[in-house]
This record gives sequence, structure tokens and C-alpha cells, in this order.
Amino acid sequence: MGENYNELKKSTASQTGLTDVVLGWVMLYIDDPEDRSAVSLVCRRWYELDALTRKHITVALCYTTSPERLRRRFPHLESLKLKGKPRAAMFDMIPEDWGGYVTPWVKEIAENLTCLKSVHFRRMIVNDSDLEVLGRSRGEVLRCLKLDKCSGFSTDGLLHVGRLCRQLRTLFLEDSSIIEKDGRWIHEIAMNNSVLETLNFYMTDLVKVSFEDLQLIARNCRNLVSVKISDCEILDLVGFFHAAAVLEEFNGGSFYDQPDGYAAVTFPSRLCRLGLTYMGKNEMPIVFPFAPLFKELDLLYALLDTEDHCLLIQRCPNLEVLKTRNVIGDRGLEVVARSCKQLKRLRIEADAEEEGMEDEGLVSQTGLMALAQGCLKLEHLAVYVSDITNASLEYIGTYLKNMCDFRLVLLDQKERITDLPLDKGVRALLRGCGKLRRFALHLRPGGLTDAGLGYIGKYSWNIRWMLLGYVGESDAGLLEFSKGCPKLQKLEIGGCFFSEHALAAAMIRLTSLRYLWVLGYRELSQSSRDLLAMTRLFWNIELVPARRVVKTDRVGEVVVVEHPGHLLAYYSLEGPRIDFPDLIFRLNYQRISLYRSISL
Amino acid sequence: MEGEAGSYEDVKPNVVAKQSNGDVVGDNGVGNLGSVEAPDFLSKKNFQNCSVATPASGLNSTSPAPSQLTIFYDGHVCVFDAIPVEKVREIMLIAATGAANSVDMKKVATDCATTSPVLTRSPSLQSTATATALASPQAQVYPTNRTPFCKLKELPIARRHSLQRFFEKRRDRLVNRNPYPNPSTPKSFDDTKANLSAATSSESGCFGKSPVAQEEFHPKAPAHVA
Repeated sequence: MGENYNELKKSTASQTGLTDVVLGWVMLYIDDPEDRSAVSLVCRRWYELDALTRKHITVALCYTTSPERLRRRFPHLESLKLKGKPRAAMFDMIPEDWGGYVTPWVKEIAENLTCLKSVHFRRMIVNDSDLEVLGRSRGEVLRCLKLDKCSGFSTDGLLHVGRLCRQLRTLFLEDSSIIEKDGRWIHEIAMNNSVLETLNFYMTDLVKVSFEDLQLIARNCRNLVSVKISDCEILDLVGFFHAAAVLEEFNGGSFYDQPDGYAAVTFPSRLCRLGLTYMGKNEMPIVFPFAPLFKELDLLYALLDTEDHCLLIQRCPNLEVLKTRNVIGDRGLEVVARSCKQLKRLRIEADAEEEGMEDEGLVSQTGLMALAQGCLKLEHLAVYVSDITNASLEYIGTYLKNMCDFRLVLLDQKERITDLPLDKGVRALLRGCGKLRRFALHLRPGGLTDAGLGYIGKYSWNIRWMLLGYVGESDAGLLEFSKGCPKLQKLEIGGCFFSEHALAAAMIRLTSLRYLWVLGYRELSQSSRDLLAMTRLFWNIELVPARRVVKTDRVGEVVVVEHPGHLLAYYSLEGPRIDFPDLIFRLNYQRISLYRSISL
Repeated sequence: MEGEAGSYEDVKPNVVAKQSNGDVVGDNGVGNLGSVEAPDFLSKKNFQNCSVATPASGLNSTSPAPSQLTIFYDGHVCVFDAIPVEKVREIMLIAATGAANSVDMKKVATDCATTSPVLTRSPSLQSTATATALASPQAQVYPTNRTPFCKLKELPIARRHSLQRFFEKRRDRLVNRNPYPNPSTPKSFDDTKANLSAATSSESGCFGKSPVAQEEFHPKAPAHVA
């Protein structure tokens, strides 16, 4: 093998005659990160060329490397995406001060990453001072700033952005937790920016935003294509809509009881991606004229029932992305299947627990089967179902060959599920959907046997990320699972209560695994002794033991909350991190970080 | 969680573990439970058809001498020789928690609704907390917090934080707890409200004050605070 490799290397250089310059040009056309990764492994020269020409890097967990290391390898980086807190943070399972501070990264960007034009922080902690540093150092060249589900900053920080980053094409703040002091930040943007294309402060609860400033932005920025804002009266946006001539995407606003209704509202003519908060059945008709144009429809925060969904969706033959809650029901899904043949992404979230007790507003195998047969182009499907059968999963495996991201959660409202365990269906789905890269399955006890869990391992040949909740019956299932999943990089397990021993064994067997998150596991020993079997070089293990938190709810009752223990383990080049949170109030917060150093 | 405690006491026990002196009645040659695998029904960890006598009933653990353990399960009898008392206690404890949990698995869906209505209306911060709170009294009742799969039902199906906020705001709209307009702030999205008869609110020209005014990540601000 060694001999052949050397010969190959020589022949490449002489036969292809590719100079570094040519190779460098060729590499510019290679964008896919996995391709780039492969390229960088060929030989030292290719590694160096890749490093010099790589434009974008996504660091899936900011603690896997360091800012210096990143800059040393990719000095000419133009675009950076960093992710901090585990995904579970979106479900309130991770304490606010868990970590993910952008400060050291911003420092590196400011000092050394001179080519950086696009920054995307996701689930990280950002301070106002970070935004100031970023603005002062990169403000003139920064074209894209995304603070995605971030926290820790205020509108003062955004003021720096507004004043200093005048070339921004994209400002994205969606779902961030922002301390609001005033609305001057958006005024600065209105005054200074004429090239904005995407403005997003959706789901931020910012209220001190002036309509006039919004209108000014629409007038000044001739390429303003996408705007997503927080709640505000739609009628007050009439002027904005008039000014935003090329707007294609709009989310937000709000509907309140208005005596004259909403007939006065006219939308920009190119609008084709829409999500109107609190839109109810009375207001819905105002979007009917545009419905045939709709490519994306966000009904997650609308107030429509099943019938309303049917009435609206049947008018949307060009829909490619639909997000809604399970109030759409099986009937609504049948309408989707009939009408939306172009559908690529569908997300159906679960309504609040107290809602949806009637069958009409629930999604079950009936809807799924109709969907599978009707929407053959579906690539992303995430659905919370109240009932399920093996047959419906088999349908998905049979018809939805383009599926690359499938997520199913079985709700716990119905005591008896029609058809469990789902071994056969899951196997058929995985075998049928060969392009699947992301897979999530959250069931209940009895939902999947150990054999079924073994099937997941055996037939998930292309899957990179998996979330498994309440699957399998025992450690045997996990061990069988871990024999497969050749490309599994990131695994999240919840509620399965496998033993530490089994988790350690599984982690070692999963050859591509670089990130493991486990919510709730069987602690057999106080000192987590069995987890030591998992330790290896570069593998950080962070434990948060089960803890009890006493809170007072809105009604004034004292609530004792049991947070089950969780474990986070990941490969890192930087060793264990040091920015652990301290003991916080009543949280008994212990972190054990283990790694074993090998003396060579 | 009195409701749950009551429910399993009603179940007729059909597993009785007895420790006694006596002859070995035919089994698989199992001697000391501690060193040999437990019978199938115990290792399978599927307690759905099994219930265990409550510790108060049917158990006689005070017989003299290294003793015999007899287990009656579902029509079968297994007898184990020379079981030390501590092991027996462990077995009894496992069976007790297993039985209670297996009953809970069936009952927890209904118990969720009946036992803690208050908790389900907790703010979104406790979205995972609402159902784990339901589980917590259960955890307090049983000494071992570590029984495996029978405890699976405890972990709730979490909703996204963004959705939880929407549910709260929707509840507020329904109960008309929207704040009244703030007349002192010009030029901000502060004043649109369902309660007002004024059509276009834009005296102020600012975004409507949404029910959750200033939100911080932890903890959640109550909705009606302006």
C-alpha cells in the first residue's frame, strides 16, 4: 500500500502536469465540504492548496478547535459559521451560561481573518462589545452577519452594527434573545445602508422598531428581497409594503381585531414566501390572490384550523416549503398531497399539549400515506404524529426517494398506538430512502425493539446525524446499532437509559462518531466509573448529573423540576474547555471532563 | 402523586417472592442468584404482565439461616438456594419499582391530565419541566432513581422554545391580557392591541407591544408586564 501510494504520487505530478496554479483554480470550483476534506488528505501540497483556497468553514461545535488553529490553517477564510450550544438548547434543556462565547473568535476575526466577509454564529453568546469589535474591524467589508438563536447582547450592540457595517447585505437575528433598549439600531441601518437584501429579526420580540425606519430601509435598499420582523400591526405596514417593490419574502407582523378588516393591505407583487403571525380564518383571504405564487408558507404561528388549512393550501400548487402545526390534520395533509406536487420541505410541529384533543387536528398514518404518494419530491420531512403504523413508514420508503432529512416524533397523547413496534416500517424506510443523511425517531417504550434498533444501524449507510428517543429495549439494542452507521458523525439519544457501559462500547464502535449527546442514562455508579471506558485521546466528556430545580411558575405555584442527567462528548483538538459555568443559584452543577493522555 | 400510589396497590400481585427454608423444587439448577443470570422474565425488563407484591405483603424475609428464595410468576415457580438477605432486598426493591413503573406506563397518560393541571400551564422555560415535574413526585416516591426502561415515560416531548412562546402569546390573546397602549412613546411599534377600537394605531408609529415585552432567556418575563 505504501509503495503504490508513492508511485501514484509521482505519476500524478508528472502525468497530469498540473501546476499548483492550475490546481488552485480547479479547487476554487470545489465547494462541498466533504469533497474539500477529501482533497486535503491527498498529499501535503493539496492540503496546503485547499487551506489557501477554502472559502467557507462550518465549525459544528466551537469547542472542537480554537480560533488560532482555524486561522493558521485557513488564513484567507471568507465565510465562517460557528455553532455553540447543543441543539437541545432550542428546547430549554441547556442552561444559558453553558458556554459558546464568541469573544475569542471575534478577537481572531478582528486581528487576523482579513478576508472574512460573512459571519454566522448559531446558539452562541454574543456581547455588545463583541459586536463593537466586529464592527470596527470588519465593518467595511462585512456583507453578512447572522446572530442565529444567540443571546447576551442588546440593541446597543446592534447600534454598532448599524453604524459600522454599512455594506451588509444580510442581517439575521432570528430567534435571538435581545435586550431591547430602544429602536436606534434600525434607524442607523435606515440611515446608512442602501444595499440590504435580507433583514430578519423574526421571533425576537423587539417592539421599539419604528415603521418609518422600516419604510426608509425599503425605499433606500432597492434589492430588499427578504424581510422577517417581530410582531406588529399589519395595517401599519401598508407604507412599508408599498415601498418594498422587489420584496419576495415576508414573515411576521400580526393581526388584531380591526373593525375595517384588512382589505387595505396590498402586498408587493413578487411576494412568494410568506408567514403572517396570528393570521386567522377571517384574515386569510387577503393572501388568496398570491396563493398560486407561493413557494414558501409558514403557518407555524397562524391561528388556522384544519378546514382553513385545506382552503388555503389547495390554492398553492407551487408550494415548495410548508411549515405548520399538527392542526393541519390528516385531512390537510391529503390536500397537500393532492395540490402541492412541488413540495420539497414539510415541517409539522406539535401544538400545545392542551390542544388537539380531537382527532381532526392530529396527524397520523393516514396523512403520512397520502403525503408519501402525493409529494414525490419531498426532501425534508419533520412531523409530530399522534398515531403511526409500519405501513405508513413503508410507504415513505417506497415513494419518497429524494428524502434526505426525516424526523418523526410520536406524541404521547394517545395511550394505544395502532401498530407498534415499528421495526418493519423503520427498516423499509431506511432501505428505501437511500439518500437519507439526517434521521430522527422519537417513540415511546415499546416503539422499537432491540432488533429494530439494530435495523437502524444496519440500514443507515449514509446518515450523518441521528436523534433517537425511546428506542430499543436494552443495551443489546444499542450494541447492535453501533455495529452499523458507518457515517454517523453526530448522535443524540434521549430517554433510552442505556447503561454507561453500553454507551461507552457503542461510542467506540461507531467509527465516524465525533459528537455524542445523551439525555438521561442509567448511572450505575456515583463516580460514573463505567464511562471511563469511553475515554480516549481528544475526546472531551462533559457530564451534567441529574438535578432538581425548584421554580415558581406563572400561577405562583412552586414547581420541582427534575432534569435528568445528560452527557455531552465530542472530539476536540483543544482539550477540555475551561469556560464551565459556576455553581448557579440552586443548580448543583458539576462537570467532569475526562481525557486520557497517551505517552508516545 | 397519591393517585398513582393508589393505583398500583389495587393490582393483584401475581409474583410472590418468598424466602424460606425448604427443599429445592425443580429449577434450572440455579443456586445463588447473585452469581447466575436471573430468570428470563426478570432480565427482559418487561414488566407489563408482572406485578410484584408490595413489600408489605407476602414477603417473609426474616426466616433464620441462609435461606431459600421462591418466586411464583405467572404460573411458574422458581426456587433459589442460599440467597443472602441483602440480595433478596435488592430483588424486592427492583421488583417493586418495576411493578409500579409498569403500571405507571399504562396510567401515566391519564394521570398526566388529572394530577397536575397547574403544572402544564407553566411558562415556556419549563416546557420540558412541565412533564418532568409530573415525573418528579414519582422519583421522590421510589428510592432508586435508576431503574432503567420502566422509567422511560418520564421524559417529556419537548416543544421548541419559539413555539412555547407562541403558545403563551396565543393564550394571552385569548384571555385578553394584552397591555394597553403606552401613549408616551412616539415612533415605536408599541401600541396595537386587540382591545382597542382604533383602527390604525399609528399615533405612535411603532411596533405593537407584544404580550411578552422584554424577553430574557432565563427566566421568562411574565406576559403582562409592560
